[in-house]
Amino acid sequence: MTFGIQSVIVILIVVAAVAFIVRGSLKTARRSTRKSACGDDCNCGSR
Amino acid sequence: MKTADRAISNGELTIALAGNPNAGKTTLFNELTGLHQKVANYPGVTVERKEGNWTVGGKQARLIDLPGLYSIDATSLDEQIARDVLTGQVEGLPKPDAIVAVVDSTNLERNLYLVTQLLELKIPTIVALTMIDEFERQKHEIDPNRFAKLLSAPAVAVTASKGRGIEELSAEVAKAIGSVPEVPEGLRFDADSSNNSRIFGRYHFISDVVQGSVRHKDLEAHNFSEKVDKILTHRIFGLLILASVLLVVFQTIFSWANIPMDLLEQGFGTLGDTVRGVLPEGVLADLVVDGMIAGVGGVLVFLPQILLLFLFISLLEDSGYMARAAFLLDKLMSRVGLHGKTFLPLVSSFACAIPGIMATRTIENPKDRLVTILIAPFMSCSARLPVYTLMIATFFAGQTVLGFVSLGAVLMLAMYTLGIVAAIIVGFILKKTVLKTSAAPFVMELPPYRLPNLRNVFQNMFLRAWLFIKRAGTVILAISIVLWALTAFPRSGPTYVHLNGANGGPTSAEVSAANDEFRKSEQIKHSFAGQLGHAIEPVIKPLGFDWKIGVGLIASFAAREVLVSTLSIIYNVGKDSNEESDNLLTAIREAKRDDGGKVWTPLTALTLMVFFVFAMQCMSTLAVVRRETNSWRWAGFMVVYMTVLAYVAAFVTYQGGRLLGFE
Repeated sequence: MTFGIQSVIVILIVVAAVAFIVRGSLKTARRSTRKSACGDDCNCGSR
Repeated sequence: MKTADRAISNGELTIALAGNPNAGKTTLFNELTGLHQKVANYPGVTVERKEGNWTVGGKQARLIDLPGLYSIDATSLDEQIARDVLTGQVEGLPKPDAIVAVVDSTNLERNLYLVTQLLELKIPTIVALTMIDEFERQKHEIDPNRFAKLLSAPAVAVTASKGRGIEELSAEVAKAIGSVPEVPEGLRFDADSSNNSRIFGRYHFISDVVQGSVRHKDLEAHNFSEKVDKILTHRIFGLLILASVLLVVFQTIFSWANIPMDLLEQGFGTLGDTVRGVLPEGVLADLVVDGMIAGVGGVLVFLPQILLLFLFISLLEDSGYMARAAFLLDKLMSRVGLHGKTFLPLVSSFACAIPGIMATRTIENPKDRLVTILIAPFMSCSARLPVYTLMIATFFAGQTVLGFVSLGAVLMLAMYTLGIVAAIIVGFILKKTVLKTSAAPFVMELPPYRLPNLRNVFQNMFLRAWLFIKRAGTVILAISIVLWALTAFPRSGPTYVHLNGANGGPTSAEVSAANDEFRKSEQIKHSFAGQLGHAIEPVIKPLGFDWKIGVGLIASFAAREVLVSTLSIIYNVGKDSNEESDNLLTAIREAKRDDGGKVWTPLTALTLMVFFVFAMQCMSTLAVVRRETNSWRWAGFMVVYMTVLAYVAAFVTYQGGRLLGFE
């Protein structure tokens, strides 16, 4: 395998890893900005 | 809504069936109504009520099954509906002529709380004691007459599924209808008495009723359990026993996990060698072996510890001991003003802070809940375990305290204790300053001791292990790849050490190995990760950390166990498995600074462990805090205060240790 092919594969893997992390972070951020089931009062205990 | 008229005038009686969820209400309802019930909706709400016909004393009665309730404090929708029905506030539904309170005999104390509230409504109330066969199997015996006398309400033992006691119940209801019962003396509270004193008053009354009417046939076993509890929940002996149990658990984890851990390490070493043999030499082989296998393998070798830790946690939980431990620590926490319900989320946080933070939803008071959320990440979660274990195995393995207790187990216990103490102190400070509230009462039910159910235990253990493996195969793998790229680029040019290979000097193989080593260290030093590490080095130098540890610290803000992957990648473990430095432990022990001094000492290892006890290094936890508090403000506050605390604690540990003459 030439150095060029190896470099392309490595770049693809690294880009995929970065994309996975970014996608995961965005998902988490989206989920975290969604309001909790009980609204704004931070008080689910009594429901 | 208007108050409905009593239906007794038109000849039809209304009887309400009330009780805790799962008290056997539906079974009794079906038995009484002969399954002739219909389902109707209350106006404007979605909660169902069941209605049926029951003949009581020759009269037709409308039997209404209320939603399962623990109390009628009207804090939840169900309770509000029940209260409206019982006080005749629902249109088209008259105020009940009598209430049949369904009480699960196997859980008398809890079930009677609702009954004490029903008795205050001044509606004739008849207690149906269900699950009496199960109660008798547990070697208890109840005297219904004495029970009824103490409670000031008629009581009938029933086994609905067998029709036992149904006729007696019908007769008691018929007898009670039309009477105006008096509120028992123990439940007559002053108009200005606080909610807390009413709650305590009710439990006091319940305790008198139960103690006066229930007899334990198997007194020996009962007394034994009480005697055991007296020791296990003793404020001094209990804590000593808890510490000893945890020491034994940690010591066992260290000694049992060694062999499988070595096997896993060898396995990943062999895998690295094989892959390097198959792939052509170059950047791709470096990525797979030094990035992916070293990064993921570095974390996965701790799987035996995780399995054993959860095996012991599950065993302690299932046997009933964990509830005693919770009770003990709850005593400590309530003393500093923390809410009793704080403890259960904190116990969950020992596995992971995320379910712990979610569990705070059971705390009604918003400020108490926020305090619990803010201190939950101090509990040593399973992601910290690989970090603690790596440090202990590298610097403290094989050492003992008092000749027989493993130093590793003591240190592990110390880290767990430090987290708990930090949580209590920070909780106390928050409660006294920004999140002031008064202490709320909390009643904890201690489950009976029993032999652990092995199926539950193993299920729980494998579930946690699977989560750990899944995380290593996804998040940790991705971070390891990115970290490897950050240590491998930009590529530095060929660099050589000047060694003379002739006339009795080093052999050409040794020169080549030295050149390789030098090139590797130069590459990492000039890489993106190296530059980042060097940039923060002045800040972390007072903690005894060099730039390589700095890279690990930054990476571990994504997830704590990433520190182990980062060190594996940075120390280039697995590059050449026949070298001594293949082992991460050896690589850490032998790592040198530019001036030739050792990077790591036992004091550095201890400082790093202390830093990890306090630091907020978990993106997922932060996201959950944001969601549960509906604000980035509290999530941000958490990162800042925990990071500052981690830095200060690590600084004190390192500098204090040096002042005391430790290295």
